[in-house]
Amino acid sequence: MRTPGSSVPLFGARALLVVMLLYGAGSLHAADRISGTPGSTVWVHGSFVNLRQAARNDAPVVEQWPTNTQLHLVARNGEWCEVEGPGSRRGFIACRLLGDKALALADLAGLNPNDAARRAFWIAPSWGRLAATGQALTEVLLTAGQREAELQTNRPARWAVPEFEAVKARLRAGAQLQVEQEIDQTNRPVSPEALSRIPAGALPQAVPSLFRKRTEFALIPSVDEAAAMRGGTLRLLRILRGPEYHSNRNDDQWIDGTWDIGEAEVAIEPPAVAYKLAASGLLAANSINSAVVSAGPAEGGCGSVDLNGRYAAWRPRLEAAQPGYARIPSDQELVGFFSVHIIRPDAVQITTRDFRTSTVQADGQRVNGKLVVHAVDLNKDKAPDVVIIIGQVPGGISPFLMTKRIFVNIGGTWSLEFDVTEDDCT
Amino acid sequence: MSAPLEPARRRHRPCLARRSALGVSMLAAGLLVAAAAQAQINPYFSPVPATSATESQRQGALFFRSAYVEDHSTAPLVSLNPADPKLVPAILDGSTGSLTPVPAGTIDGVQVLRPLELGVFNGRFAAAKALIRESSKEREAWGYVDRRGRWVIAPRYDRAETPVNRWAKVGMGEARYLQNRLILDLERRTAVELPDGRAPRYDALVPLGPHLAFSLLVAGAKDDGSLSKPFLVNAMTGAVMPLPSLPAATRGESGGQIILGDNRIFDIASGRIISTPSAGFLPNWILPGVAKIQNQVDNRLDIQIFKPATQTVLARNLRAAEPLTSELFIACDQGENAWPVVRRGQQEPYPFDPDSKLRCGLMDAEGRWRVASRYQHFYLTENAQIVMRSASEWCTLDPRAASGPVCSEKAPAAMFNAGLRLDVEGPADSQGNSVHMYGYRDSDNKLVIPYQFERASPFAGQIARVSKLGVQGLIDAQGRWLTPPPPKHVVPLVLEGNARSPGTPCESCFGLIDRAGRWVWPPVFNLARLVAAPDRLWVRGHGDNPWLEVNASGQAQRAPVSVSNHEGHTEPSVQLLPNQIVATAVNGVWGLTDAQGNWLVAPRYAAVDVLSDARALARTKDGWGLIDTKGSWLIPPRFARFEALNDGLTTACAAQEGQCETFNLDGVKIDLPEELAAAEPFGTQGIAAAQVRSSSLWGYLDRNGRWLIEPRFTKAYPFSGKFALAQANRSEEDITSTPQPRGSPYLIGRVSLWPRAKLALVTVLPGTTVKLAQERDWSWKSSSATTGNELTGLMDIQGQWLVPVKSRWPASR
Repeated sequence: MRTPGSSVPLFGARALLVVMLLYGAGSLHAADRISGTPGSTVWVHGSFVNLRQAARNDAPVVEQWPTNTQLHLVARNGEWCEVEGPGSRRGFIACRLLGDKALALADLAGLNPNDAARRAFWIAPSWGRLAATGQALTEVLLTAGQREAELQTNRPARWAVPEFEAVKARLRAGAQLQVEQEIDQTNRPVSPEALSRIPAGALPQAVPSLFRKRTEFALIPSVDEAAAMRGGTLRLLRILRGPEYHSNRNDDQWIDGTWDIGEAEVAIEPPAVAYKLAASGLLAANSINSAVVSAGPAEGGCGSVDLNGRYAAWRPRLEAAQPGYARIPSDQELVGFFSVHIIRPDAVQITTRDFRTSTVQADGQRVNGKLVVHAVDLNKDKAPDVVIIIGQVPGGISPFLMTKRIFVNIGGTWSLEFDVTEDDCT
Repeated sequence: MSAPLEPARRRHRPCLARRSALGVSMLAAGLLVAAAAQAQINPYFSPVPATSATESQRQGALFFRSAYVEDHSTAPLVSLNPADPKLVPAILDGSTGSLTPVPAGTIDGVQVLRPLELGVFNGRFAAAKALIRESSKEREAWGYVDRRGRWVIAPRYDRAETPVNRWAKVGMGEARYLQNRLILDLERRTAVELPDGRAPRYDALVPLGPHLAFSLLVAGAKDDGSLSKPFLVNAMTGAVMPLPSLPAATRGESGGQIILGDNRIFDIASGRIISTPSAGFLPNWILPGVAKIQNQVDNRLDIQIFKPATQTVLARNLRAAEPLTSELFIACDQGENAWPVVRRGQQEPYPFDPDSKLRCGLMDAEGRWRVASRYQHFYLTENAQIVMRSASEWCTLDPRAASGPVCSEKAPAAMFNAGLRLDVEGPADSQGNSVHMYGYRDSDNKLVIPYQFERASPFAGQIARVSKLGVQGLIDAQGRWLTPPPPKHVVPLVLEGNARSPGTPCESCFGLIDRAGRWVWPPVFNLARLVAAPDRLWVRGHGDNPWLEVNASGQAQRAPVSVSNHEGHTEPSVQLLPNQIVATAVNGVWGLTDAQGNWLVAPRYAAVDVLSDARALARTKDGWGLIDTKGSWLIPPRFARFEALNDGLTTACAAQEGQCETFNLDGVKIDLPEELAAAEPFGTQGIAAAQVRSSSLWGYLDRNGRWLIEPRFTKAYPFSGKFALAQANRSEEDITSTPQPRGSPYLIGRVSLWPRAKLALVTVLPGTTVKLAQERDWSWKSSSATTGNELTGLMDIQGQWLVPVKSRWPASR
């Protein structure tokens, strides 16, 4: 049993002090990265570095600047660089926290994840990188004891941190999202192993059609990806609530959100367009003007798999049905997606084939089942752009488990974008 | 007695057959003399040949309420507690056959009226219970006796635990009162005290030292419900000293050091923590005073051999290291993520992998190679010989001799007992699981007792301990069962397995019926499955009984794969049915195509559901109907709901909850006495299992809708040949009159074999000794619930039941 004045809180306080010192330094850089002479331009490479009044570690801090802040190098004196930055602020920064060029995301490889996350936001601001910064601060600022106390008291204990306040302010100003930066461009051609699980003849031949690159289609995008689809801007509108304590029937406990944000509202400008498709070929299109975003752990466990997919950490807040498109009840939704292309409502044709199947189980028993194949042509060129295969496999506990696989035709090659089997729960 | 042994010796050891007739006679005579000598030394037992014993003799052999053999002793004692309350507990010396009864009398002022119970010996002492008289009252109490049966602690305690070296924990009164616990020094015959003079309240008493000469105990004292610091009690001096943390009990003491639970090494003499090589973890003793310490370097295991006393690293860069004897350990310098197979005494061998990259040899306490690194398997035999095996050779090393290993392509003599060597095969099943089966080979490597046992021991004398289809027992060198073999028929086999195994009996058990609905095999199986192989099915009883593969005549073998409802689920291969018609829609308007996508019926329906290769259900605005491949209506679309029952029948209902009718797939209405809820396919025999909605029971229908077997099963499965699996509706069935194959005369709970004591102990389950032999119908599945205690019989390693001679056994007063 811990008691007031015992050694454990004292240790906790010491640990916090050490962490705060490191935090003030804001970097773990080992080597000096500037070669420029006085008068040249340099960039901040630390995450949120202190500008000091004098070239001493204990000199008063006059300003804090984030990664990639552009500075003018005034003079250099050993390990200290005198610089002038935004607002004509002048002072001293440890030279090892500066660099000759601006950092790119690729430069962060090799840093520890928390250090990388705190720099990445400033290189390419987005909601996801804001959330990662908050998570990194949670890791760095909270001791294990404090995190345990949060769970024991069911009450998050967070405070205003200048670095995170600056991050929020930056996103309030709006961030222009780049498709190439936000969306993974790697094609995911169907592996032979995945193909072997699909009955021969179920997946039609793919020929080049609507989508030429992976960045043109997103099935369950993050809010950043959805906004980036049309080169949009994401802006933090307001904080809706702080982080909250959660627990579930499996005795899992967690605090949601990221640092002191539980949920927030972000604006997407121009609005993202979410398409929904029904098996009847009807197409709905909704403009999403703003979204509620969250972060941190979500409830998992058996049964949490959603065959319809879902936006992992966001939901539309302000959305409007686009004129000329259908309205589709959620129980009739076959697939939802985002695209850089405008899909016309009369251009969609879905061919559905309801196959009967035979499955030999591990114990040699043969069971019959069904396999429904929806081939979706989104531009009426008779070439399927998306194929959705819904099947049944025998379960261990349940008699049958539903499987859903979604393939997207990227430049004439099927890319497996979704492959989920229901959880086999008691 | 020697007569049955001779043929086996001739068969398995041809070299003996070439000896002179005089030599054979002398050998036989020698065996006779030896056996007679044992009988003369021990007049308390009458040996009965196991293979010719009558039923009553076998039951006579099952004479002991309990029997315990001292473990890890070169001259083990056997504690015998007779079932007959008139006979006293006694100590049998397994090596000489002498018997010493526990005496009555007055011990330290305690009047021992009658010895009642004798616990297991620990090398020096055993707990013993007796009826005593105390203050003119009689009660039962525990004390301790030494190897000669003398009371060293008079019986006066309510509880007594098995001693550790010379120390024992006892208690008075209710077990939950901690203050009544004491640690006794059995040698000095006093109680141990803590250094501060407090009353000793020990919570744990764990042997830490592997050697009796230097043994340590740990005693964690509990005050106020919280665990205080643990203490060491030096078994030699009785001195008590504190420990910095709890020791790793299973890793113990060695060379005067203790491995603590937090992986630190504690030096007893100095009371200090010894530094281990940097970044090392999981120290384990590998020789007395020598530890192995594991490091992970670039995802590769680097094992160092460390001597804490001198803080020196004796060897580095080993891939694996395992203890073997007190002077040599196994060291491996080649092979990643593989470990040598180490087997001691009666442990079963493991299949040899000739492709293994592992290379191991033997190292001594100074880190010097005593045997070069080239082997993968190591055996330490009962007579302390080391046998090593590589892909090309077997080698034997006498660790007491200075000479090196003696090698040969053949398995060495040290691996043989009774002319036989235990061998293993490990065929992989279709899932890649290895199913080990054991058999015995002779010195010519001929398999003389085929691979058939799930568990088996090397022979000791003329007997070996085996387990087949879940039945434990003893066999002789000809492979004959000396105890009841597994029943040949699956029904008694599963019933006996259920009686042995804890678990919940099935409510609606599986059985096998014929076409008349009669039980061919009564419903006694918890689980059953049809399998792909013809005339085969898998069944299992409850609890931990194995899956059995059974043929049509009821003969069982172990199922080749581990099947489970909950384990090893992998996505099975899914195939489209060939030559089928396919329900196809364009933007939600449905028609029929062939498998290639050619339209057979153009899209015009709201929904289509294919029933067979030639029939489909179709829905229009008027409702559901039945169509053929041309789109012609066989049943007009007027039903709210269709349910395909199977490949030949469908139920159509006028409204969601309305009246339903049953049709065949030609659209002909079938008159059924009751509405069906479900049906299995008709199959080639034209018989379908079908379920009635009202009672939920299953029976069997023909294609005309007639009941061939009336609904009376909880679940019925398709016929395969003449038989079908069905689950009994327990409340309805009367099957006690079904004659059944006979099972075993008695059920064995467990068998243990003690080569050094020259004995096997055979324990029979309670209540099954006679009952199973008498009752033959299926109702004996409940026999395990009968009253009675376990009984244990003794068999000597020549295969003789040792039947106590009651007239000679010491009786209590």
